[in-house]
Amino acid sequence: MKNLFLYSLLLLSSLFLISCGDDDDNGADAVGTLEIFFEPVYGDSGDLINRTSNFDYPDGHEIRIVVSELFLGDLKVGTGSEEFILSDIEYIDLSDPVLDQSSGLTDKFIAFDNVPAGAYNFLEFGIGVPPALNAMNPSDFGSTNPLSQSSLYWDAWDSYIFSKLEGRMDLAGDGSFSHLFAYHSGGDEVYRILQAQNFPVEIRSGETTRIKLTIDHNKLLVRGADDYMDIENKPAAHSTGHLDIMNYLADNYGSAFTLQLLTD
Amino acid sequence: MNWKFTGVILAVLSIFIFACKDDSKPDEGDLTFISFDPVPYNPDIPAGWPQLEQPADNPMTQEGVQLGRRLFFDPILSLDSTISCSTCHIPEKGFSDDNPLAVGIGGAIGDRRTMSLVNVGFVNSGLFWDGRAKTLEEQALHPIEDPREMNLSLSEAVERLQNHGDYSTRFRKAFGINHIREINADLLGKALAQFQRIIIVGGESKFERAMRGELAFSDEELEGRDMFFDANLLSLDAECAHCHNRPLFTTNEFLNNGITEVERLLDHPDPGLGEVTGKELDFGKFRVPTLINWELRDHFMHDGRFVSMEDVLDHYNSGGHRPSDPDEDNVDLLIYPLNMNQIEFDNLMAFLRTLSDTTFLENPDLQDPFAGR
Ligand code: HEC
Ligand code: HEC
Repeated sequence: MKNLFLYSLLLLSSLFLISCGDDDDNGADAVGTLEIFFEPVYGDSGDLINRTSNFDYPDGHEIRIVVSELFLGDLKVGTGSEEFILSDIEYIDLSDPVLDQSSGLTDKFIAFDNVPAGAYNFLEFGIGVPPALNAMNPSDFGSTNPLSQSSLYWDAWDSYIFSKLEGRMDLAGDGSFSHLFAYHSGGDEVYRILQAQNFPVEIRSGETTRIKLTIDHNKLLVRGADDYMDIENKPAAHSTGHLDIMNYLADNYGSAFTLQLLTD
Repeated sequence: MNWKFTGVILAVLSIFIFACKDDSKPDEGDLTFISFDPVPYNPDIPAGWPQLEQPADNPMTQEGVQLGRRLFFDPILSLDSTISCSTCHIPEKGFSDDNPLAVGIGGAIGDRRTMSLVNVGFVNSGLFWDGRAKTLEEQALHPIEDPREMNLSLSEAVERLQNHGDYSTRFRKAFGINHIREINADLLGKALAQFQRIIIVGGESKFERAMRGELAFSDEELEGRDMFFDANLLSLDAECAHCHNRPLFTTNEFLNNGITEVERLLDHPDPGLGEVTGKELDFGKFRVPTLINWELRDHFMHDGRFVSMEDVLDHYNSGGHRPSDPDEDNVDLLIYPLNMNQIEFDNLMAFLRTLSDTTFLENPDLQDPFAGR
């Protein structure tokens, strides 16, 4: 009798605990970490971009990617019915990645702690700064926020610079790579949201889940053998009126990104 | 027998000493009788400017700023009491000086030009041309000890301040210390930092006033502005704002703008950021300086190589020096021949002249407290 009483008490309290946890997802243990490792590459070979690496361009010249940076907005994971915001804004500099030989991962990554444990099935983020944040400007943010950087804001557009892609082309074919190009883009019209659907991400309590996000810079610039950014004749986009160039790039992000879940 | 005798003498002596001590006046270094009631200092920050961040353990107060101001203008912090911070950072020169390279104690010549301290409180990427100091608190102690600047050991500096009646009172009022012994290098750095954070300059420039609609740009200035900010497809992109963006007219990044002609990164005569990070790719990178009040400067760039804005524009117009081997090239990709014609050149000059604002010279808190002595 006494035992039974104890037993039911235990049962009751554990039920209570569970329902507690349901009410406010604060159970100390019920969170894990999600790490996104970026792999900025060029082409199918999977070679990392680098200021000194040469890549073939469809116009017959070689190019080098020197700068690749971008904002990611409203990063979230979710299930059909619920979603969890990982971060409202992140800035990632993908230039000159360094590969860690033992892990096979680059030094470009973002970690999100305190993600509620659970089985999610989509990952979503925007390329650029979401319109609500883009309506603000650097003076609205403290220095630890990337949105405080005046180097990432462009007054002429009333917008943050969503992405920077800069490099050089060996137009002369003598290894001098003296033809420089710089594509910066921004403005609400250029914001794109990407959602990886049916992408299972399981966050386990107290553990780290890793995702690899590959960005193929060839696919950013090139859609096909005859359809590619005209680097030779249009080497720059950072003033108003270059929306065609910016939209071309923005539309390519979808096909340039691939996600992979890393299992240990 | 002898032993006993000494013992008695000692005992008598010590009684005497104790008695003396009991009778003596209060400790001379004691500061607790001075009131400590600091008043927060709220600087005027122009609308749309970044937040002025202060360390939690060194909030600005009237007392702290005024103490820092005195220290800044006082040669007491140099070995032979001839040089103060303001010898090199002269308010009328936009808190910089006339020399291509800094001139310190005994005429010693440094390696770099004196930086303007205009808006230095907003720098969050690292202080000095090469970013080697993280905070103003830490930075302030470098020039004092630097043998080619003020050449005074910090312990000597602290001792001078501890033995200085006026300063000890002011340290008490600013930081609430109880005893002169508590005056130390840490508090010295804090006071100098508080003062330097109030050097906020540029809110009344023609540029800011025109942006606020208080007055209008001329046609030339407007053209030059569009060039500076790449704001218009019809005007030439001068690319300046990528690195000298408003409102501070610097992004505070560390970059190579191609002024130095070298074929290899490691050949840079002054490695700049590279010396701090140890990375070859950082050789020749320096912090982008503000363009606010450039008209008060006689020399430009970290080594003072240019003597006029025209020289500077000639440099950017030419595209600067890019090593022929692309592997050795870290010159920013936005540095390339601009090919401005004379009219474009003049328009850009006209715009650049809208960045001057000398109203700060009337701010009493920025003036030399010892002036007229
Ligand atoms: C002999 C001339 C000289 C004196 C005296 C001097 N400075 Fe400087 N100051 C310089 C030079 C030169 C630099 C740049 C040095 C470098 O980058 O290596 C500089 C840089 C600075 C900077 C960095 C500014 C920035 O934007 O990063 C600060 C702050 C500063 N000085 C404050 C002071 C203070 C405070 C004192 C007095 C305690 C002082 N200086 C005394 C010449 C001087
Ligand atoms: C790629 C970035 C970049 C661009 C674009 C750029 N600058 Fe600079 N600027 C710098 C850097 C870095 C320095 C400091 C270099 C040094 O001292 O070694 C500098 C220094 C200067 C200075 C010297 C200021 C001083 O007090 O020493 C002036 C003036 C200047 N730039 C004006 C301009 C103008 C005008 C334009 C546009 C025509 C421009 N800059 C474009 C990066 C840039």
